[in-house]
Amino acid sequence: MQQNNPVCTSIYTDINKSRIIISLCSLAALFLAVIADLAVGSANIGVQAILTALWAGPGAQTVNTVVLWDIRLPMTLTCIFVGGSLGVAGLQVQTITNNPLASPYTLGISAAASFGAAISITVGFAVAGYLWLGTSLLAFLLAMLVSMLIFFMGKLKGMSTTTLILTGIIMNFFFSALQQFLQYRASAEIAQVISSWTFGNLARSTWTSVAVNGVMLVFGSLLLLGWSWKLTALSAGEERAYSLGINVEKLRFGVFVISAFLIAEAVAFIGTVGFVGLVAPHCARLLLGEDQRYLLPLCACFGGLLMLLSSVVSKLMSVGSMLPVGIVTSIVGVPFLFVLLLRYKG
Amino acid sequence: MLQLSIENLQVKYGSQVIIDHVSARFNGGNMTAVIGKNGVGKTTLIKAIAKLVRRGGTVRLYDEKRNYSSQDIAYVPQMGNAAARLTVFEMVLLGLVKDLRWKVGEDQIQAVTDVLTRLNLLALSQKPFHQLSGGQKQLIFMAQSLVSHPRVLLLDEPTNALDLRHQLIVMDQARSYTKETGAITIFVVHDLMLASRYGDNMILLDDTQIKTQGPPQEVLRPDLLESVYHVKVDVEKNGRGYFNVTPIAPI
Repeated sequence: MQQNNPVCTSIYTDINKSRIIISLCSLAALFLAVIADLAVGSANIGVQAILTALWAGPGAQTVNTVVLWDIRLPMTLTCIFVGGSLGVAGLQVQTITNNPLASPYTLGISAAASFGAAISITVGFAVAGYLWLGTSLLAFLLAMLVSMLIFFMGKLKGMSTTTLILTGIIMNFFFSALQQFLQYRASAEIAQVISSWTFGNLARSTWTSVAVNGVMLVFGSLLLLGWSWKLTALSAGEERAYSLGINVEKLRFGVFVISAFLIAEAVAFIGTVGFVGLVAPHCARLLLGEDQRYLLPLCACFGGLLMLLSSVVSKLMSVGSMLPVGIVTSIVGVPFLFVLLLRYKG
Repeated sequence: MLQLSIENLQVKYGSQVIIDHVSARFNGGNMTAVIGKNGVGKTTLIKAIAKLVRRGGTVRLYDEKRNYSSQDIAYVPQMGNAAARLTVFEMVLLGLVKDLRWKVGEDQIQAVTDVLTRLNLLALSQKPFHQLSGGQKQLIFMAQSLVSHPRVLLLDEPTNALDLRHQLIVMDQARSYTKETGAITIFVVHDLMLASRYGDNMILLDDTQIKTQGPPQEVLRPDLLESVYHVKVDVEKNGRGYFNVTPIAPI
């Protein structure tokens, strides 16, 4: 037996120290992006006034307080939680499918949510008198229904990556076609509303969406962090994970269920948002490597950061109104996707 | 002495029988080569021993003091396309995945250090795994398996796609671990010369069953090899005492 080797211990400690520093820097960037997102908007409120209104709390009866607490803060927090959910779900979809180009879209869950929303918009489905709540609920239910379908197909075939990806692609085409059918048959106004839902619009943010998205992100992330070592091993290959004694099928199932919930809650309220779930994991992985103890929180952080930056850009690009954030994330994401495609050309 | 005994081992994929009532005994400190043509169930046999596939029959691992479980058996799969962005140190650390908690223990860091030192890989510990050569990757996979001090080491084509130097380095490391710790190593290999050089014993599989087993001189008989591989062969011992098997022509 060798004596304790301080060099090796120090190597491992140094790797983790640099990861903690990167994580803290990313959190600082997220905080700055939060301030920027709160400060930018059609009502001209400075950073000082924003901080004062934040400090005063929701009860104060000033214009700034109403703008901040009723409009901007729900949007900003929704950005963080939806982006975080998509970032974490994207990472896990890539891990369980062993495919770096997979994203929440790959499993067809987003397409199903869009179809659910389209049905709700077409028939005017309301919950407790609220149309938006009916739309969100139906989007969520369809997303979960598709997740169950993919799961049962996966169970039949041992949750193999091929089955997951192929079933997801089939679901994507199927529900996209159904949504297009509804749009084609709907009146011009309804078709317009359905279409705008698919862009991902932060204007639909409410404190309800903040609460649901926030609780699901925290709860889902904590569960996934409990499996962080097994997920790290799975990222080194399925055969390797099996050989290390990991029940890969069971792990994939658990991760799939949590990811499905995260994707469903993320798209149910504000609509589908592209590329965040693809780009955030890759940025985080490039900086931190594959250790999921650090990678998973950073994916959530980068997902939120990307959404916040897209939100700021969308507000600046369309003064007086707000460009749907889903359009901006796609514009940012497409060049990055090309870089990835070139990189993984083999 | 450590003993591994398999009795009436049976593996089926659906209705297809892959391994049909195979029995064998392996002794500690010995290496056994499993040979046979493609598709006869060599990989399935060692996966069944490691309990990585559903199997019938019994597998017992024991010595004078105690019985061991399948946790004491390490399986090293064929070198796949592992492209994870992990350092060599982290890759080896994953060999302890079942015991890892949020904070990695000093004893676990020490275990990784020990195995990297044993395999002369300490200098690579900070290198990204995906930047290593094929031979280095195979050694890292072996280190990953050895870090938990397994009593049985199962190697699936460990020299596949490796150059001559790395073939010898990988097999020498397996042999030194086997001899020094009294463990049992079973390796699947296509190269009959390598099999006879490193195998204290050999198992020749044919059509889901063991055709013959024993020391290399008993297994590497031209008549046996010709009946299994359907190739006419010359077998001779060279000046260094190693067997040369030269394929002449398909039968």
